[in-house]
Amino acid sequence: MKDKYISRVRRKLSLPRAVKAEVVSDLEEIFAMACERGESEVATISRLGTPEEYVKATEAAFGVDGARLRRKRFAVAAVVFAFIAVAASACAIATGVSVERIPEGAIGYAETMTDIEVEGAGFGVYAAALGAGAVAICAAIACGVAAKVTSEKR
Amino acid sequence: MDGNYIRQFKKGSLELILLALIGQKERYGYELINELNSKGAEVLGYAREGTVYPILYRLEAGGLIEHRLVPAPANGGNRKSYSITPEGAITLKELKKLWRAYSDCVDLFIGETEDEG
Repeated sequence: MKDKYISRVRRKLSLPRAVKAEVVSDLEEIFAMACERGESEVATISRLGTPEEYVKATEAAFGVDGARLRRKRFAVAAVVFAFIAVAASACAIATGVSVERIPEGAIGYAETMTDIEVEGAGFGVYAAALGAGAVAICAAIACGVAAKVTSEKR
Repeated sequence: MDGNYIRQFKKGSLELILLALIGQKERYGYELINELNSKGAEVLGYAREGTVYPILYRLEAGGLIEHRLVPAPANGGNRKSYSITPEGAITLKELKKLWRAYSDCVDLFIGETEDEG
């Protein structure tokens, strides 16, 4: 119970690593001292408040608004993914166009149907770019939604 | 009474109280909480780590207090022992003066309005 509480605080704290380590070791001390006094972990936790409340108060002491920081990170990620999506789509379109136009007389070029499979490297790139584009669009939307949700929770 | 009024009062005064307690002598975190609760719980409300530790972080970040780690034989870990820095001692002196002037001023207004009422 105590470990779960502390690890939750550690995960949610948006503070420099050294400060985070200090907050965690303080929590260890708080629990140890309470235990020495014969207090149960449940009683200590009810005094400390929820991990989220503890995180909020601690971040505020360092002048950090964790929720706002997370929102900003999501927003930046959404923009980056959107950019990747646009770039990948453009790449896919460009490759797609070049795949369709096999120059006449090229090796493997046939005017009628043949059994020879034209293994253009182009198709692999095309598919990869298309896939990356689709993934990036999904990621951009997910980050955008996460940023919005984080801002509404405040 | 609305809890909001009490919170507003507590906000600034807890900082001064903690600085004064640490200025008096070196103290552990739990000691500060005990002290607050044994003498001030009635007025200030029950002090909790979630309130006190963030203030200690702020005071330390501001260079007003510092800590050293003292081994705690009972649990094998360390305990933080807080002491005031020279800068903290100067600030404490100024804050005490400000608090007295502040409370005198508030008393003055309260007294005046009481006389009228």
